[in-house]
Amino acid sequence: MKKTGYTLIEIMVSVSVFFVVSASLITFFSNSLKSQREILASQEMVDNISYAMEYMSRSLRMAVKDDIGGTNCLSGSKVNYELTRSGDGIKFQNYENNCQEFFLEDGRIKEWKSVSGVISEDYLTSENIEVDYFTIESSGSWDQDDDLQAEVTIYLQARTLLTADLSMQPEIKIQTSVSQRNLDVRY
Amino acid sequence: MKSGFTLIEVVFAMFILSMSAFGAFALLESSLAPASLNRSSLTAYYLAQEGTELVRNIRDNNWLEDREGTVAWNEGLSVGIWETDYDSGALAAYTGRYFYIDDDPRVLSYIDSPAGEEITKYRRKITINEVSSEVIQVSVVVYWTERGTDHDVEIISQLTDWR
Repeated sequence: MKKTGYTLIEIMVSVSVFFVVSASLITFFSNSLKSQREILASQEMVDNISYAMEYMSRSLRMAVKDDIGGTNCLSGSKVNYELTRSGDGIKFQNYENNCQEFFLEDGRIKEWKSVSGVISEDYLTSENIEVDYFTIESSGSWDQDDDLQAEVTIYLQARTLLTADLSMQPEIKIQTSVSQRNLDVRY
Repeated sequence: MKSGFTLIEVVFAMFILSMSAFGAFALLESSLAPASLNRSSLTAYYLAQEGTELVRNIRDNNWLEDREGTVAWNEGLSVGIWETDYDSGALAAYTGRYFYIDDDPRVLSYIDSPAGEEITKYRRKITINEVSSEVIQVSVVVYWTERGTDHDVEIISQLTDWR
């Protein structure tokens, strides 16, 4: 009589092959999910930081000199910009003559604005992003009599909080400088 | 009759299986690259923008210093290939220096004798050409290498003596 069926060895081999193949497929699938999360988190951060940089650099570029001092926006008279919050913020008079400020608070960039007495505060970066550094540099150009056109350098370093693995958190380090459009003439 | 697979058949089957697994992992790896390239491009773009602003700042400084009509509008902006960082205030001959991340203040700048500061992959070249006696063209290119591939972004702007 002809014997049909599988031997124990055959079954064991086929089961182990099945497990190895399915294990690698599952690993592959979970890795794809992980990297997709990372890509989405990275993209959200890039969009967000791009927005914040564009918004801040444009506002800073179009700022005007505060020639009243103290009564209007900045504490000094005839200065272009002023550092606030022990270097974590920058205040200026914007092109619509409103007082405006950008600063770092709890790992997020915030905007403070006073439009005809009405004060508003808004975050520029999402809660999913931790801003680790926000540097503002003047290169000594913010005074009235320095014969230097006012220049602001801002540096941002941020990472996303959406991916759990700390070492895999996408990070961005970005910097730009702006030269004020309004010519800084003495008067 | 002998049934089953020959060694050649087994080796061939395993080869196909591993090739497809390898391909799948390579695909996964390469799908991550654009995300990181996105971040680098944004940084590079803003560094290039900074380059044009720094050159413009030199032009504006010339205007401000020119109260007695003694300072040319394009002083320090001669035709050539240059580099500069945020607080240099002047152009220096291009040598292809890499930007560092300075610790205090934390900014991207050139550091000639680094003491543990983190180096970045970015270099910036500023090219000035004369269009006319009242117009110069400023081209700023930021170069970097990522995953073995060279990338660059370029911004071109024109500066004039039209006050």
